Amino acid sequence: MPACNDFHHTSEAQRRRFLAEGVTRRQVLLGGLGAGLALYGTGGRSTASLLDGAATAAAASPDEPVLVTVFLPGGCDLLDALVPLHQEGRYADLRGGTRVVGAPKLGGTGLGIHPSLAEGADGGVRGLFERGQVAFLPGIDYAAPDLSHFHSRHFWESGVITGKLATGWLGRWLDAARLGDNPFQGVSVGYGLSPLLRTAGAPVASLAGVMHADLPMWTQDADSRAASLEALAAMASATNGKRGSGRAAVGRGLRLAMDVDRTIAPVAAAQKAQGAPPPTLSSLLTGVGGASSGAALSRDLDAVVELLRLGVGVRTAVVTAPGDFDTHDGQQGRLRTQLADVSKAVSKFQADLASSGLADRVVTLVWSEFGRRAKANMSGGTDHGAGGLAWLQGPRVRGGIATDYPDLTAVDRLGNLQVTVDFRRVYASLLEGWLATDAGAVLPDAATVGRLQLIA
Amino acid sequence: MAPATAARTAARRKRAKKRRTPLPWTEAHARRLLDRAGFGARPQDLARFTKLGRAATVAWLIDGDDGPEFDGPPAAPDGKALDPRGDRKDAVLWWLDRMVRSRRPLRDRMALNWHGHFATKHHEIPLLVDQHELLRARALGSFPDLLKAITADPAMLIFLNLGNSQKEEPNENFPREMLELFALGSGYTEDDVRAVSRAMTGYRIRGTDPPYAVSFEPARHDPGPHTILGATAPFVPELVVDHVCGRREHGFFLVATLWSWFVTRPLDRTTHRALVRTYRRGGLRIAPLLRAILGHPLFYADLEKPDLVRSPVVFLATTLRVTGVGVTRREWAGHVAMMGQVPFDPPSVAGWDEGPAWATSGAMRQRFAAMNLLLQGGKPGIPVRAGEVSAATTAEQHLALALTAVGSPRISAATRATLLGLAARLQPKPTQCQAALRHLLLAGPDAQLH
Repeated sequence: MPACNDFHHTSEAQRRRFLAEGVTRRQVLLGGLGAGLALYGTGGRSTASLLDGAATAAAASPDEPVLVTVFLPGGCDLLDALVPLHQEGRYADLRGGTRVVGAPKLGGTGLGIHPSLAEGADGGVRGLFERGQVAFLPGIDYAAPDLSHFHSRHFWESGVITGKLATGWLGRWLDAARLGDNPFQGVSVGYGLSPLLRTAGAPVASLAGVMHADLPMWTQDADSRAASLEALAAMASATNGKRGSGRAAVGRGLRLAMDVDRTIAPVAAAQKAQGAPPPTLSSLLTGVGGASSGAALSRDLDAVVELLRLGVGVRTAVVTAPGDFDTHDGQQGRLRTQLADVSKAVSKFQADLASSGLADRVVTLVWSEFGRRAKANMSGGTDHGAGGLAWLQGPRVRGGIATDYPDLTAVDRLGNLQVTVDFRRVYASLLEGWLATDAGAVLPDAATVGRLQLIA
Repeated sequence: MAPATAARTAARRKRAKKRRTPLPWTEAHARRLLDRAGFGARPQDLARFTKLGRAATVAWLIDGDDGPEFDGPPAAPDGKALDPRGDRKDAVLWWLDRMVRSRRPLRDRMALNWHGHFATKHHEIPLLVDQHELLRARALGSFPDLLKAITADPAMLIFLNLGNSQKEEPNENFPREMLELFALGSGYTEDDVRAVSRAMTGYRIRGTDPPYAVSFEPARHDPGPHTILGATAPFVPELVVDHVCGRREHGFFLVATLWSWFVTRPLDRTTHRALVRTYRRGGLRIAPLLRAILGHPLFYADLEKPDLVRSPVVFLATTLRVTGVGVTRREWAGHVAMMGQVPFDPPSVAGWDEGPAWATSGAMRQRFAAMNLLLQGGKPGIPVRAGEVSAATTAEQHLALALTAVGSPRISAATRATLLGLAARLQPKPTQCQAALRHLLLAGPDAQLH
């Protein structure tokens, strides 16, 4: 579903009005965001008390570093994104007619960049690189990579090369960081909770698309409705089961739905009276290649900016870009569009953070679950491969090309590029260099993967 | 007969006798079967099948009868006939309507399950409707035949690029997903993926508009020989499918998959092996395996505390079916989407995240809001009608009437006690009282689980 976030419709004027009238931070937050809020692992605490706690926690430590992640699903091709001009002939041999032509140079690196990554505010991702705010990580992956989307993505999300771990690496970071009760410490933007934020105990939140938040009972007057919802609460409480069971999920889901209703309904109603446009049902029935993907990523990143501005204690936010980087065919056209969408969205994100005075606190990791085969296939695309691309962005990032670009003449017997950096090394470096947490508390393999100097 | 053989025969007879000991069969059992192997039971069906017994009910579910496939005329919500091949929203409503009216509910439930299994995205709805008909027709038959048919299905050929895959540059997308998601799950290597990719070259899909022309062109096919999962031969696509389905891993994978669609209790090793034997002895056909699962004691576990979350489609189809309301409003297409599931548009080739993942707070809210609509007058639903209740209606009478109105579902003792308490409280406002009970029955926890 497209992430048409209610918050996006909250105008600056409305926000100022709320603040001027002394409406609490909780009400502003809920008015804008509560529509699609889902809370995980919050125990029995009510939404209201959790949000009060959030505001308090955030006020206590306002400058703590934040890590944002943006996932490009499908396996983004390294060669077309960060163009190997230093091995231009070999690149042309491998990719033939599907290669990127006219890639602007990345000064001083010997590499080029996809023209679409120069689109957006102030030169897009390329502009950020030129201002020293991007560290590219070519060749990132893990040894003997599993080329299945689901396995590979799972390894990247859980931070271990095994099928076993159910928690996300960022979830385990939250568990280790012991940030308390605040469910906003980790926010997953989108429907459902990203596996990155599955924790063993720390509460987290997900923020999904536009859904009204109240529990409508048009047949009832206020008193009867209240009595009915009390009855529903009793029914939900009696619906329990083992952790992870359907019964437990249904009981908890209903209780949380009632909680959100109780807390935000008055504010949401007031907003509706202001004339915030409701979603159209047909907008939710998009077919393949429907809604403008760039707009959706921007909306998600806008929500992250607003959350940070509101100061509710967000320490990590995870976003998934729409679109599909799994370019088995039509790679040229698809990357041209999708990389432009990404570049525009992340450069706008960076600009918004800067104008809000937040940029120094935020480092963003853009990643994908693997790279692609060195040689093109016959469908104008590439198959799953190894040695992909990730990058870090933000003013505190040590700009440059942080890892070795895989040698295009040294593909392995499966035709894949060499992996020049294990993603766990990048995670460990971020945990220690940016989030001030011992990587061994989060990653089982922390001791063996080495470190990179990623933060300036 | 030699002593060892006699001992084995005696042991076998003892096991067979143990199996033949009949499971209990009550209304609760019949309800469980009709809920999970279909879209719920109308009261008259429940009575009939309770009387018929387990074996006959399972047989009816699997084999059908001489009557029509669907009950009554196709829905025309808001008075307009549906055009499933012309409009995506119509297609969603058309499919919901078929689930509501189906007289082959297991077949239609399996068509939905297979849709999530062979999850395909495509922008042209006619291809997806055709794929649905294919999945439905083959839902209970030979799995290898189903997989072969899906391999050559136009929507799938386009979605996973096999329709473009030729010997000079084989495309790996479909072969990988076939091994990983559709048929094997494990027990293969990257080399196998590449060999299967080479062996499955040759399909061609042509045309500018649906229906497309699908052909297999030997000139585009890599003749091999190919070494796939340890066997070397000049494999062609159909033989690849047969070879993959002959693997031990396939049986275990397929059984675990189907078990997860129907049973929430874990699949222990002994049961797993026994079901794999049943599946293989049945010639890799789905029907014998389903018969075994639908007859297994664990399928009937937790009758009083059902644990299988209804997906949005199953929830809506069941509600509209057992209340008798049917697909009479176009809004249902949007509502099922807001609950988190758009038929014909799975989020990825891995299908939907089933089970507890459906029960987010937002999704539960959406189900509650959708049921609110059913209680409004002026449009098809189950609003409280004038004269149905009065100030004299007792709490017990209220609950009985509400239960009948919503299709006589099963409710827990805790729910019954709570709703009687609510009825007593709201009794001075009889219309609101009755409406509140119906709403909570339709949207409460009992309705989300089966």
